Amino acid sequence: MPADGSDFNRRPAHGVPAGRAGTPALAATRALSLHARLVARDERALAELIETITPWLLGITQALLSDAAEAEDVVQETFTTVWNRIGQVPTESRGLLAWILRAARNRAIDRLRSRKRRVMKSARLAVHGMDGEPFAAAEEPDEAGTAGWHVHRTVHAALEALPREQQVVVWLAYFSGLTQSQIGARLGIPIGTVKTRLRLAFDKLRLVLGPMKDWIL
Amino acid sequence: MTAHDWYLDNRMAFAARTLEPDDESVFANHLTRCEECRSAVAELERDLAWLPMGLAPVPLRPGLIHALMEGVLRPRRIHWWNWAAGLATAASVSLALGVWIAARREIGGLKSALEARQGWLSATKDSLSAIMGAERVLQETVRGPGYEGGFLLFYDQDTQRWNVVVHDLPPARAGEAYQLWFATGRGLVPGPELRANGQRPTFLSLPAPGPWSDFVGAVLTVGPAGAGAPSDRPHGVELARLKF
Repeated sequence: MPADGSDFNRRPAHGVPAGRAGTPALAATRALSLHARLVARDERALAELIETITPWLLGITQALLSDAAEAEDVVQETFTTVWNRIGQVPTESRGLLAWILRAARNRAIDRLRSRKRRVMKSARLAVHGMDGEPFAAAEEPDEAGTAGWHVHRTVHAALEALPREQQVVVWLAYFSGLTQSQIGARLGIPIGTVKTRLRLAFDKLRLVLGPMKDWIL
Repeated sequence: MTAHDWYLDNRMAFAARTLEPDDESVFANHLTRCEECRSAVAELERDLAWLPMGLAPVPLRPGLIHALMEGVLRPRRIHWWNWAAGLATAASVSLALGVWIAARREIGGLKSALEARQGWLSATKDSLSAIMGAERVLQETVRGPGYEGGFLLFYDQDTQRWNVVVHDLPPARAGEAYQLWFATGRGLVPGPELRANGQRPTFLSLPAPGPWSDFVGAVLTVGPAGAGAPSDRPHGVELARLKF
């Protein structure tokens, strides 16, 4: 690692790190290499990993926690776990980043539930409501090769393709951390309806997201 | 529907973490035993792995990547003087806590002792007030083989009862008991057995054994316990005799 750490801050002006032009930033070959370098305790590999995935980790953790500082804490803890337990992370082609995304989300949900902040969260949701689109399209950064942007575009399209009522339950369940009964109470619908909508939505999402495993980490 | 069907129905909810916390614990416990569910959940998690990326990336604030690197590679070190200071603080707190607990115990013990003394003093005051107002008070020193103390008898006109006090007498030896006798013109009339503990006076309040004019005194003896129904012949050793 450079002494001044300047490499860690090298990113475009808008803050989202630049991708590797012309190639999928999260290509399996690179990721496998990244994993192997992490196992070898290569600090530059850690810097690359952090630079690549932190914006996405902050996306899910901030959505769950509604607290930027706490979201950064969760991301920090997640990277520390990855660095200290890299030997336990799956080595399959889509193992590393998927594992990190899941670990960060689980950690954020654990925080959310342990701190009993759901009431606050629900209150915020009630204030903001679900009047707008749950998955409003994000503005694409300047660089077409922003790391992972192509993944985001695919996932986002899959979410947008869901019927509105399924979008809402997926948003509340997956991106707000509510349980099925809380969603039912929030929307005023039976829990059975919540389960059905979630099942239908996830089945559709799996059809789109499942094949991505062949070429993404 | 079998018990396992519940797990089948909730695999997706578990993978997405939308189960209630209690149900989540039950499901997680089941996974340790069920390979089929474990594989299915793992596959669901893999299929949904990229779902968090459906949200837009958050622009990084300046310095965040460097801070994250620092946090991972150089977690804040605690110098020896930090933990020494912490240790000293902890020791001080422990010491203060120990002193406070000991003081509380001491105070509690003293308070209990004081309450006991106050109770004893109140009882003694009551007895003394009765003695001071009594028409007849008889007192005798007890002197016997291994038995030394006092023997007090007085009549309380308010309650019209005889009161007997023995003090400083040691507990009767094993197999023996103190016995009170009323002396009347017709001879000795047995009273109750007395128990002495050597530390506190023993008080007894008794009805008069017969006509007032017939009552001439009392006798304290010590003898075999459980010697049968007392007769008009005192058994054991006479320790003290009171006479009007």
